[in-house]
Amino acid sequence: MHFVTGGAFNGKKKWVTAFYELERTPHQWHSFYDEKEVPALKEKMVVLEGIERYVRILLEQTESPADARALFQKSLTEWGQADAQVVLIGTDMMKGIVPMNAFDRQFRDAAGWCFQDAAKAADRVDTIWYGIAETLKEEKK
Amino acid sequence: MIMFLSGGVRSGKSSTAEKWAVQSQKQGGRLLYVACGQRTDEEMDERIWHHQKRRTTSGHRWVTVEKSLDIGEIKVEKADTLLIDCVTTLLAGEYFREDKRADHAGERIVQDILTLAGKAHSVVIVSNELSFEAPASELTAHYMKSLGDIHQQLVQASDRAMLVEHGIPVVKKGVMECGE
Repeated sequence: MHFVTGGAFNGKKKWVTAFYELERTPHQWHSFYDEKEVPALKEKMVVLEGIERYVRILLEQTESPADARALFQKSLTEWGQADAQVVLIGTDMMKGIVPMNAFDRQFRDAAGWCFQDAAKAADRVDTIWYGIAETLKEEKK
Repeated sequence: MIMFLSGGVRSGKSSTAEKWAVQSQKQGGRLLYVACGQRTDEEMDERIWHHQKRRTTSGHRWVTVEKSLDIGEIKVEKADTLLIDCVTTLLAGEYFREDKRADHAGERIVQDILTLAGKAHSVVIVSNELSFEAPASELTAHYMKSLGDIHQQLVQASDRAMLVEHGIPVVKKGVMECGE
């Protein structure tokens, strides 16, 4: 599993598309910005975009960051065991001022924890800065 | 040669950019400082004064051009080195001007900068890092997207790109000699 993160509007999607040559590779692209449900993995190459949004969906369901995290970990286990190259794309929104609204604070906490879990579960982690990747972690397969 | 650097507020990016500009100055070429901020209040005057003071005491001769819109129109010569300070103030000007479309602001800025880079010896571009916060409104989100798109295109076009963190340059693209 490959976890790709970085700030908003930094070209994460574009980088993943180029890195995995998705324009000529059969793949499944699922965006949590459009679809709330976790998809069944159908291809050998699967991109799950909007991981922070998925965390938000879990938090809305559970109303508890800890419970959302537990559900997220279950998903991570499934994706990690899948017979596919799974790429997770998540926007880092954890470096700002503490939000006024309680839900927004919980969302940020949950996203931070889930991103740590994603980074731990992934064998490769990259952060993207305006189209340039910095590899934070890369395990030999 | 196009050089891009970005950083947080007061991260030391302007002094680093000035150093780069001075180093790449060509013999006989001018050092042009393109100041893109609009004088809106006293606090802004203070900022401008701070930057001006550093340049006058730098031991190098800077020519200051104050222009916050259509910077592609600046008259440059082949040997000139330009320091553009900065993309965020440019975007503020181009985005909120009334005679042209806000959603084309990013394209205009990238085009203007590449035009200048094509005419001059080298261009050093300074910008601010995008925030890592969830945008507060649609307008903020669109504004952030414009800035992110500009940064992506400038980094792609650049020979060197770096992020300045607390005065320490982190090279993201290109090669730099130690002490440069």
